[in-house]
Amino acid sequence: MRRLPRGALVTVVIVGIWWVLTELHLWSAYVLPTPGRVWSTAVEMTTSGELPTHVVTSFSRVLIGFGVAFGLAFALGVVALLLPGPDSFLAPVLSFLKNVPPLSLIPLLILWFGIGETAKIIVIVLTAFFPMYLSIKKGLQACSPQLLEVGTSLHFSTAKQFFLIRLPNAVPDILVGMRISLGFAWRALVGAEMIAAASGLGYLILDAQRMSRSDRVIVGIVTIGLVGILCERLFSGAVRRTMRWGIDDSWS
Amino acid sequence: MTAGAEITGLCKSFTVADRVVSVLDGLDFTQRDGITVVLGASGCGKTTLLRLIAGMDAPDTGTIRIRGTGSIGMVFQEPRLMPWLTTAQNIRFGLGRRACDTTRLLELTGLTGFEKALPHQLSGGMQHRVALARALANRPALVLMDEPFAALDQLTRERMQDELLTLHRAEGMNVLFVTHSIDEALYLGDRIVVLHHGRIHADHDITQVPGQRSRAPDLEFTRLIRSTIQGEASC
Repeated sequence: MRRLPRGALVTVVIVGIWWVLTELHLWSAYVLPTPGRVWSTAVEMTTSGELPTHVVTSFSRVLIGFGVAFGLAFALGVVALLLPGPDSFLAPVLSFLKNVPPLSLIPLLILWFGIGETAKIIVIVLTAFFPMYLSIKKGLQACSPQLLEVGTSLHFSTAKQFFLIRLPNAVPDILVGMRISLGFAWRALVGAEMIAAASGLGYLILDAQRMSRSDRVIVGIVTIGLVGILCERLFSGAVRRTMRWGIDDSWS
Repeated sequence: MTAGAEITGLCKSFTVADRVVSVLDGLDFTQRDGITVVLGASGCGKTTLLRLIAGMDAPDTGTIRIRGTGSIGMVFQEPRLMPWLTTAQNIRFGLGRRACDTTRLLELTGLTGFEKALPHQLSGGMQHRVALARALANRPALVLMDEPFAALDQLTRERMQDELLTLHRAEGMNVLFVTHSIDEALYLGDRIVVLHHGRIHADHDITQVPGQRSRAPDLEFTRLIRSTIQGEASC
């Protein structure tokens, strides 16, 4: 309860400093528009439906990319656990991809897939995949042998041991990976949209820059931050409601 | 005769830092009804013996046969509860769709009212009781217990020992109980087998020994047991 007023206070202070700086006319309104101008632009873009459309477009890209990345990360995490042989073949490729920034692939992705949805979703998948893959792999592999022995003493099959012990035990790790990946996915999406898109929040910012509309740029940046916070809050809230163990105070 | 382990010529060794350590060396043992306590100093192979009987490790040579019908329950030194499951779910863990009178088990182990608690919300003694209830949920004919109360304080340990005797009377299962505590062995056991150098070094039927099921056991018998643990005497 105490964190919200503190956070709101900092926001008020930042907006106050911004307002004072614009009132002093140190910079032109093009370089730094007034908070009032940005607010009225935001209201206008919201009521016209322009801003919600960009938000929905970006959000659906994140959801699709994040979902595909989770499916791949989970499948390969299970492969790494059950089939260490094939996993050792995959490891160098995964290590290579992990070290290549997905945005650097954009020229090739545009060449191969055009500027449609595929290129942007591939960028999101590549960005969101690794934190989840590493967390899922770690969570599944690092299961306490003592807990697994309980399954052995109860004559569990490998499948039963996986679904009743390994998987539930890995849930906190999986959730941490998902949370990090969600943030990564948002960052990658905006980057991808700034290079190759005709809609979405990244496109909105780049288009506003071309039109010399700093107020629209700021609206775009603030919206990205707010949607990111909203996503994280929704995710954390869902986790807190469903998980009664393994999530400590650092999960905030 | 009900369920119990019948063991012949059991050998088990481990390789530790390139050195082969023989833990069990031709052990022969036939379990009888009641509570059998396997007693011995640390590292004498008590836990290894229990793990072999439970099928969690394979012997090098020798045979282990579980006489009778019914399942085997296992209680470890630590409670080993699933941290994401409530008390009631932990008790039912492993039963699948099979029926189990959870209410009765909660009553027997004094956990009524805590069925929805998660393991981290329970005290150490309560967690051990949940582990005991989980082992009994399948109505096992034989329960293997590996120093289950060793990590508990004196008072809780004594309370748990009393609860085990109550459960044994109520359920009628046979128990193979591993401990390094002579007092615990004398209090719980109907029979004490002393393990030394990988074999049964002494075998005592203590149902007639004065001080059995007593917190003040017969001193002379305690001395005899102590000397057999150290390998100085056998009977």
